Amino acid sequence: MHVCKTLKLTYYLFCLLILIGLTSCVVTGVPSSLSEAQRNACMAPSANFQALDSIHSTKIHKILWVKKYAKQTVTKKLSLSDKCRQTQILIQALYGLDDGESVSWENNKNQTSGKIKMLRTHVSRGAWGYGGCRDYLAFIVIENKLQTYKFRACPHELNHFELPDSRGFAIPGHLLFAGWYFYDSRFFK
Amino acid sequence: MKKILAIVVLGLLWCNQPLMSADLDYDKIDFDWFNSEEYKMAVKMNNCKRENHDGSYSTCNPFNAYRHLGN
Repeated sequence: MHVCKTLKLTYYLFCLLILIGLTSCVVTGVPSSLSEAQRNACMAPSANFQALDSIHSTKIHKILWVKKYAKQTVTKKLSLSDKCRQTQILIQALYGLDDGESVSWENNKNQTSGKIKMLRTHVSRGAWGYGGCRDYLAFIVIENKLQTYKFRACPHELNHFELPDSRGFAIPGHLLFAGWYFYDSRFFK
Repeated sequence: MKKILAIVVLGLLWCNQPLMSADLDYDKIDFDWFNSEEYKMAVKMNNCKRENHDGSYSTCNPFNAYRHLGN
């Protein structure tokens, strides 16, 4: 009887510990790696893509987001330093590079590297076009595995987070950071 | 019970993503990021907003100028 009671108490304590561990993250839905990147302004969307994409999916899919959440938990990610390196070249590229130019970084210690290539800057034909948006490619290599992302970064009005895709659906951005709204280019073919 | 366990394990993995980082010193920045021009630019642009003629607010991003060139 006594053993049973102790076991029950241990079980409840274990559940309580897990609950405490999960609460802060579950309430916000933001994993610790992403909030750490946020605190240090290392928010390049390519460097935080899996977490941002999972959060983004909850806004536009009914089921798919579960798959993305599961997938991103087991994917190899960049360290905070490397996320900051990717952010550093992203800021250089968005504000300083012309279309067609690229910039890169490399970290031999972690066997990681990254690159940004500017593709196109849009000029508006109307007030609600893609004017000012810049399309770019982001490359990240982790232990010889290449990940490629294509984004559209736009300097739009604050609180206008949605951009119409090629079929006219309003697509929310992945992120507002450093004066740019970032959109996954897959929606704008 | 299995479902609850799966949710808890998934939740733990989700909340502790540094475990999946390529670097054990996950939360340390090993270069002078906070004194870089890019960090200062990111922070400045994160905090900066400008009021438009119609009362709405824009980011201070200079690429806003490209929005109305074609009009």
